Amino acid sequence: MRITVRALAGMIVTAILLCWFGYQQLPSLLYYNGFPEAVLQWFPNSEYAKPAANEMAYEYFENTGLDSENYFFISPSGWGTSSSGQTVSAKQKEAAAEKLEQLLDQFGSGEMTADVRFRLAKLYFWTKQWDKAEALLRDFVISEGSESNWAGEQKAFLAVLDSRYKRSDSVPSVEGVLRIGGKPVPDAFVFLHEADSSGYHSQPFNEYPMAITDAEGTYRFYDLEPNRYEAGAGLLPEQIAGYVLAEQPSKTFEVRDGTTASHDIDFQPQIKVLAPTRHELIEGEEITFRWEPYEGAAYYKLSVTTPFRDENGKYAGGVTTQLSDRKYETPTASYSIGGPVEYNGSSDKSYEQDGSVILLTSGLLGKLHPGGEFIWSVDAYDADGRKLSSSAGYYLNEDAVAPLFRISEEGMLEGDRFILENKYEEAIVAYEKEGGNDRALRVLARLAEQGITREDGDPSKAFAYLKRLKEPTQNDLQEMVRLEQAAEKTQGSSPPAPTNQP
Amino acid sequence: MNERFKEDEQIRNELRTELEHVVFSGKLKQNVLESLEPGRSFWKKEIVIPLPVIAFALILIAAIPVAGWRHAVSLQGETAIAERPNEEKIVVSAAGVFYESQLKREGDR
Repeated sequence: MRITVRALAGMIVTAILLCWFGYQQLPSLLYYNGFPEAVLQWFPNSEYAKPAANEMAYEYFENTGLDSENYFFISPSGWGTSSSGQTVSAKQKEAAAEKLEQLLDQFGSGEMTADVRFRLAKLYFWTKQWDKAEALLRDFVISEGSESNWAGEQKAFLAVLDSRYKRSDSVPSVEGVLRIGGKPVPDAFVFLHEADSSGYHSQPFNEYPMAITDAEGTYRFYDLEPNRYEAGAGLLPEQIAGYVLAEQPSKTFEVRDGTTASHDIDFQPQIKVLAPTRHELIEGEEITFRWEPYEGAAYYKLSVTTPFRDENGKYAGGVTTQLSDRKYETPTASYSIGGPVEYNGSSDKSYEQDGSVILLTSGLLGKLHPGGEFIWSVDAYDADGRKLSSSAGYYLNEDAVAPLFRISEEGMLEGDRFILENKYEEAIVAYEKEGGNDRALRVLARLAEQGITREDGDPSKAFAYLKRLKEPTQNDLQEMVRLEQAAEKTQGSSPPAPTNQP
Repeated sequence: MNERFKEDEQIRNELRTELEHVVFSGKLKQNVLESLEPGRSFWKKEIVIPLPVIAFALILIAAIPVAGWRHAVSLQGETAIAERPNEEKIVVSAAGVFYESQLKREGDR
């Protein structure tokens, strides 16, 4: 290619100018195209370096997944037991802290790098490095109109951090000790909720008063409005694995001006279930539950939960019922499968959004029926009827086994399958075909009494089914009396039929 | 006048035919041009750039930003301090609090 020197020089100068312009624009180009790390490494003095540092701080912090959701916030009324299930390794926490500290050293802690400072403070807070968190949050003025609501969050963090200090000039409104297995728990969260408030936030941080327990496991709240409160605890999964919140004589306590209320929070070891567990398939007509004896227990009571599963087979809720009123004095209990349904005279009817009727399966087939899947639990009580512990605690240990079992489909009637699918009309047809099968007749009686539509059931029809039983039990006979009375009452309340006068 | 023009044309044609086999080299042309225009500046000098050199220069120009971009992308990959934390859904039921995997249906385990 032939070219004059002048043209070549012109081209070289243009190329240099373009390169210089490109180089000048590179930090902005990298920053806006999502390469903050490159901006920090190649252009640490550019105007985009601090915004890039903020962005990196966000990434470093978010990558750890650390926040209040790593904790279980447990209240005596049972709400707020939520945790994301995330576990953050110590290595991850250290690596994130190190990166954030480097950024802070490099870019200083002015308002331009507020993100870095704030996220490092949050990381220290949620990893219980209280002093470091406080040092970063204190004397740090976040200007009004800052892009996030950090001023509010900063205030909330500092209020919680302040709770570590025992005030010499005033008395606490409430004071107590948090214990797990009898040992005081330092550096844990305790939160309060007004007993008369029906609204709940599953994550109480920044919503309710919160305090940190001191080295002796003691928590203190100051300047509370006089009211009744309940206290809950915020603990990490590894702290409560294998434990259950103990029942206090009173779930709530009264706060009055000028005096200090006292309220301890105790977690007791949960009762260890022995069998059945691990999806055990139960065959035969009887199931035997076994658990480890609990110290001080006078008797035990059993409950079963029937899980609901979504289309992917995942647990999507469940119905829990007490297995029986019986008090078991030894750590073992037997229960007959597919036994008679306990009549309670109440209707366990609910309605779907499309108007269809759903009846409680345990009310039709019995609490433990063939083809069913269940999770069981046991509660221990002392001689005064106070609940000491339960197996319904936190199955979060590595070796924890879920008390889940299945019952063989042997002996399952065709109608039972339709009941499990909530197809009641088909179930009635199938049960009718069973002829004089006593179990089929009992389910038919329950279906007739409850009714499978929005209309009320017909007690006289239910009575007629039970009358056909070949071997009625005492329960059945009592139920027949009740149904007969209910049928008479229904007929009595209906208007008399008109008589034809000649 | 017309006769004279015809004569000139004839002489020109004869000269062209006579010089047909004579070819001036690039250097000779340069020399001739320089001799005709003795004050010609440095800037107007023509140079020959071989094609491979042009190709190399173009590749280099294209490669620098591509390499830079790739490096920027690789730097970004190092941001993740470690793998994302283990995330498993927690199931809260009246029978206890479990990890979702503990309650998976037998066939799904």
